[in-house]
Amino acid sequence: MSGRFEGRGAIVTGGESGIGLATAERLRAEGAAVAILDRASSDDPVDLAEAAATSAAVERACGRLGVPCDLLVNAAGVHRVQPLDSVSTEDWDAVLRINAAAPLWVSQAFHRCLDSAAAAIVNVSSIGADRVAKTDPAAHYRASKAALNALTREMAVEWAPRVRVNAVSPGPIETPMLPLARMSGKDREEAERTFDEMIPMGRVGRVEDVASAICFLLSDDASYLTGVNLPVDGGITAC
Amino acid sequence: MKALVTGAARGVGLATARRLANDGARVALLDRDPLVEEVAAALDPRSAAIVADLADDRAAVTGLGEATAAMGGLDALVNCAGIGGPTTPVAETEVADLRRVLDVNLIAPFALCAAAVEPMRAGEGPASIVNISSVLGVRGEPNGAPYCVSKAGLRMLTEVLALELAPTGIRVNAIAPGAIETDMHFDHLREIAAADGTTFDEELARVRAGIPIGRHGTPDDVAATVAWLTSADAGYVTGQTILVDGGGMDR
Repeated sequence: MSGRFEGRGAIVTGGESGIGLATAERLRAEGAAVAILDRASSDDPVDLAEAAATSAAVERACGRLGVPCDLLVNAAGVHRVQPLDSVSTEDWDAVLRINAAAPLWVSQAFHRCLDSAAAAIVNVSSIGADRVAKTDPAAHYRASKAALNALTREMAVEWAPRVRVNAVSPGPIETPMLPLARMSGKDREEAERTFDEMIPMGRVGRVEDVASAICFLLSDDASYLTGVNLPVDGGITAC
Repeated sequence: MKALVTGAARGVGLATARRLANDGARVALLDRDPLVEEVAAALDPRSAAIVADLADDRAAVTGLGEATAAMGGLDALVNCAGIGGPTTPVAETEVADLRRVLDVNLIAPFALCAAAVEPMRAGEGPASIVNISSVLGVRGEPNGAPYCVSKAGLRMLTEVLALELAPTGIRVNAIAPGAIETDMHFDHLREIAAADGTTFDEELARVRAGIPIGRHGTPDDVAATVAWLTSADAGYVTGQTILVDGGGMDR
């Protein structure tokens, strides 16, 4: 694999699992030094719900990479299936905090530490920001991803031209976060059938599909792309 | 990869053909300008040149057949060819001028997409189509409806075809470039300058001031996104329109 990110430092939040992990692996394979910000991280665990601790962790990560840290992937996120009537203030705050506020805190700290002429950020959003399914009630999740989309555009314009900021919006991806991952037996078969019928390409996406899109947006090949939200969804948003 | 690129004598088409060839693809370059033969010969001895005027959809389809035969297959089609059209208000636009723009910018790509399906399905590897739309196909501006309409139509063609072909594995995407350093864009600015009594440089600066990244895009910027969309790395991306506009649409 070509070393598109040779000599570059990257921070990946949520890099211990799912899309974040696949992205960290791909970045490393292409030459980047990668620091993971994750509550499950073995060397420097951090709770992204805590603003001050998160900022400090970003600063430590920038310091220990050994190369200029000019790539950031905000991949950490939480998803809860919850009908509107049961969403408490605490639920709302918890989801919005991790999915929308933490990317801001992390990006602010990254921007403060930035010592390169050019940098790139990718936020992992979701096609769920713009689409609703009655079988998958998640008002706080959708609102948080819609907020993240607005944040992406805001950062793209405010921090231009030095920092490019884009988003990917995955559709259903085989991750621990997909409700499918917690199902078994008949429920799982039925859910799989629903997914396959819903997805024009007829398959649930792989984390590598999203990681490759993130790495494209981080790469110099995307040097004229900023403020873009790229769905990686097997065609769902085309219908 | 065996790729047909239309409008390949200059601008985005040429940059795309060059990028795909550099990445290892065998490329057929189609253009109405016979210059394309020299361009293709200089680019890569394995490449093919096809002179065809996309104002004629049958000539377009014949050209695709020639390209497929020359390369021994087809697994990428990049519809880059396009014309600017009149810069008049709708009320003063001749239907004949609208037709002329639609013929090249929408009808020909439609016919080429349709004709590409069979050879793509017959191929062994993954195949994809990329249509070059425009930010003006996403958000309109006064005085240029034929161009805007044609580019918006191309986006919808992209979505519908993506859905139709998704089960076959053939992916269809579009790119919406913003202000790119091409003859077509510069000609457009000269026309605006002439109409508004300004200078070309003033128009150039006006456009640039509206781009967060602070520069015009280059044909290579668009070509790089085409290269990604036609690659296996974009294997789960279909039916999308990717903005390559330096953030211009976010303002």
